[in-house]
Amino acid sequence: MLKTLKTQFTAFALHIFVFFDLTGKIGYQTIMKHHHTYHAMNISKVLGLSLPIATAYIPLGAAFGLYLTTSNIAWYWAPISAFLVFAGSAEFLAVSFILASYPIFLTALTTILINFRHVFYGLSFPYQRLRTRTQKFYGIWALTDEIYGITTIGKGKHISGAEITLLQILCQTYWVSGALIGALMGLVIPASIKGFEFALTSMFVILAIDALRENIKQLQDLKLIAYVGLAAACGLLVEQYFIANSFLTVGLLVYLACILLDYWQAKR
Amino acid sequence: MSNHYIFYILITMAIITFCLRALPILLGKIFKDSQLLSYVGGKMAVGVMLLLVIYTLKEENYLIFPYGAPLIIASTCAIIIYWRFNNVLLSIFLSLAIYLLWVNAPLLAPLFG
Repeated sequence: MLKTLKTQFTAFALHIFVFFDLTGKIGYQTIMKHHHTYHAMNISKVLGLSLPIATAYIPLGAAFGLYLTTSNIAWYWAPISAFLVFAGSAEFLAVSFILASYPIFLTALTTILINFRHVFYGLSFPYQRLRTRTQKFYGIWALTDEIYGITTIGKGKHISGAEITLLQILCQTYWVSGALIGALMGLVIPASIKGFEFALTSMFVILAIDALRENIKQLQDLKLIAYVGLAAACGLLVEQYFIANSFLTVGLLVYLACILLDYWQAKR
Repeated sequence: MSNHYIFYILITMAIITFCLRALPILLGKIFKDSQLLSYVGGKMAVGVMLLLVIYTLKEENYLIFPYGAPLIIASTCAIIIYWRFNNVLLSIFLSLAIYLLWVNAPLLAPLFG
């Protein structure tokens, strides 16, 4: 009922707009196109698009909140972090960085290496459909792997700017409420029960399977796994004998070096 | 763990993540034309995720009883469940349950006499 009313109202408003376009300079087609690019809003369609993301974000968020609270960090940092950062793997790491009293500089470097893939999302994300400055800012802020996937290659390829923003707000709401649920669950669990850090392992295992499915398509792609082996060995050695807590940073740098060498060799 | 330190860590991550996401929009052309960057971007994900898995597995002491068995078995369960059913909820909570039951078994012992 409400939906048909809203659709009728929008159609009515559009027709008035078309009617006052007396000189016909803008034209019916252009006005409709503008509407479809920036303003169209089909709430049930966006909800449908966001549901598969909800099934991933709520459990992952809950695992994150549970891990954070049972690591003796105050529970309210879980929703605050989910609100501020909104990048799953980085937030899980934030907890282990905090526990290890990681220096800010290493945190920055490691975050760059881990989230480097995001650099490529902005290229094909339909940013130009976002109209206001706030929408654009939030659009970049909340550009996660899943939102990138849905709005550029997935089912949401043709949604309007307003729908993109709604989708992002919905997804971040799932993520923040997941984190909050997990954090509160962590509060009622007695401190004598150990082992919640396993949530971290299982989350990375899932993300790794996704990455492998996407990238290992030919036999020669298996060399990437060999590079991971080399990178991990270097990271473990440096951490053991030279710099404490440096496994991740060193490992990622070695892996990056392997990929760069590969690229230059192929080019020659 | 002061609240200030936690806040600095989080805000560092937030700002860097935002900059990485905003960069191609500010410097779009350079990124679009660079073969090197798109090659690196495509190949990074596998390395990042596998290294993160190893990162969480490396603290375990595999030389003393139970030789990391709970960790290895529970991770294998997470892999199999996700590979087979593609379900995040099922995979995380089932493997977490296996792990928790195993490592907390001494706490549960009184329940079963």
